[in-house]
Amino acid sequence: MTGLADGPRRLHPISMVDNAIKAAPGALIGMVGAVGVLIQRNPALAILIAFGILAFLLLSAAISWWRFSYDIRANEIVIAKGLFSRQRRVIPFDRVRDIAIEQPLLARLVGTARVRIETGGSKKDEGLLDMIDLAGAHALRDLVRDMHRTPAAVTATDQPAAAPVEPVIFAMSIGRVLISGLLNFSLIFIALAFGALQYLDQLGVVDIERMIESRRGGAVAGLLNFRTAGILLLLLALLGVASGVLRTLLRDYAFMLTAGETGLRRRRGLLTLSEVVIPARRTEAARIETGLIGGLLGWHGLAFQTLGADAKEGGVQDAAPFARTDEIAHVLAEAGFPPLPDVAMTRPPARALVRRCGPWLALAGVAAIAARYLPYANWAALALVAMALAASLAWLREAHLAGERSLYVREGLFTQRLWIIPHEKLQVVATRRGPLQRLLGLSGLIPDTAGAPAMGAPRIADLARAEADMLAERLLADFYTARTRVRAGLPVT
Amino acid sequence: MTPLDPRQLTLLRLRFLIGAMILLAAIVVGELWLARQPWQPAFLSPWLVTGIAAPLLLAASWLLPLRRYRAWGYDQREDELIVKHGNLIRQLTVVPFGRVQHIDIAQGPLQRALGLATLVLNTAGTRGAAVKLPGLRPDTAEQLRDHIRGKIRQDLA
Repeated sequence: MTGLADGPRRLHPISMVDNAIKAAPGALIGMVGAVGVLIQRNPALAILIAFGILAFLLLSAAISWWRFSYDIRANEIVIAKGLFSRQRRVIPFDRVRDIAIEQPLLARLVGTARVRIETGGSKKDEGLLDMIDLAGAHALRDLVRDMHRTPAAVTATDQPAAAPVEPVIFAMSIGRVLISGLLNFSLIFIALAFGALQYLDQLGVVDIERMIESRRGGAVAGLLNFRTAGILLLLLALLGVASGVLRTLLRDYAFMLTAGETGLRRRRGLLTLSEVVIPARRTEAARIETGLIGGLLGWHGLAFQTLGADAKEGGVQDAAPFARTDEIAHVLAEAGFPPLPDVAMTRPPARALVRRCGPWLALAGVAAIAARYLPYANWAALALVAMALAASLAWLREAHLAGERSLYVREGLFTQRLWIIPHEKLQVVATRRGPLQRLLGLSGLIPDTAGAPAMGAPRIADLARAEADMLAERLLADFYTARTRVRAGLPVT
Repeated sequence: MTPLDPRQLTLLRLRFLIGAMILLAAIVVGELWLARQPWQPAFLSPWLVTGIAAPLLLAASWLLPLRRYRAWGYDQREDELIVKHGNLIRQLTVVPFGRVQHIDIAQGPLQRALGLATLVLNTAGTRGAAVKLPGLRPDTAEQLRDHIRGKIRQDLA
């Protein structure tokens, strides 16, 4: 069952269909637009254009399939593509971190898979084989896995040994996925639907104003009373919950995390099956998210910040999106990560509260005075007081701890995030002091890690100044010792 | 902390002065335009704004760069570089040499004319992806670079 023949091969022909479908929405929008404009003036031309676009779509899909080939050799994979400017890419197997296999619905129906060769480079589609047969995909994955076990001992023509069964570290039952979906309330689909409606309105397919107008004609008096508004809100909330459940079900169905050779392997998906490896060596930090309601019920989500690979998810990969504390501790231990903090974390000093609320309250005071002369200023004052309240709540939830193996940072107003940054993963450490912080003798501390998200990266917002300086020094010292231990192959105590 | 080369102060002043001159030119053009208008605001005598702005900008281009220059500083330790900067928000960045991916020495046209260079330490981090240390003499920058290079080599060995 090698599925890996010698010589260059083409992708599975179904990828032509897949490519055409993928390009279809954009083309369709153009088509609808062109036909909509022309159909009354020149129907023949409109239909001709429509067919022309369709033919172009199919032809370009066929050509890109025709000109794309991949060749699995003893030590490398060669991908060639392009019609006029040919591109030939060689990916040596020792650069391959792992093979990610994804099966969208269409692929599952015909038994094919999308294979992404993860090299840890910055480009996302570095080694993308969009649709080869599933057996070939698995054979390629097993081949790479064997290479990692016994480097250069296995060649492409050898029978790859059957992959050993990897131990399951974490899995989610359908019931749990549904509960997590219930808490995954989202209004994004509704926004999308409104957006689509607006687009159709612009094209003249639908007339929103008349749709609303006809409703109004029937119930002018009832449109704005409390009952209708209440029902509308309830409907919206239901839709939000339903879309949350649907989205989560599509994504997290049959979630399973196993311990692979190079890292944790994650499989999930209802219609689109995906298989991704979270490479252990490139895992830079862990993030445990606790939602407002989920947290009350004891649910948390664990994700790992990884370097490179899949930029789609911002480098932060779900490992246990909806789990109990002990399950998260188990996954952390399996991943070789420092454990959850077992002692109380240090809270920011009380005077930091002055910095958080002070400016808002001062502005609120100004707005309150202005309210004597300006009509709406008291509302602004109220909003500013609310901001001050939110800032103090955020202050209340912050904490940090310099543990033996890692730095723990907790923050977040509604969704609380606990970051675990192993000492050996530290890149650069900086302290920052704004004018108010200097006045209050405070300092912020920013531990930078590789692949940290540009927004929402961990930081300790406020510390006593001396403590910040000491912590920075300590993090550095811990970084050197941890790194030396890792280099020497010793366990990081 | 080691201060930057004094010529960096000249550079900062020159840069500020260029910006101030552009601003002043805009003010002068605005006043010329205003003088051609049929209506004249009563409280504005001709060249009043220019008369106030010019000495203010001149004083600012002498004093503000001085403050900025004094906020900068660096400390070359055995295994890390410490860079301090910022007046309003004071930031102190520590870069362990073992984390440096590659090192750049950059020189703009003004810097070249004054004999200055900027050392850039690139790491794999996000916020600290490129830690810049301007205002070094080229030979100091090169010495620093060679020291760090040696450290990286030790680290890799």
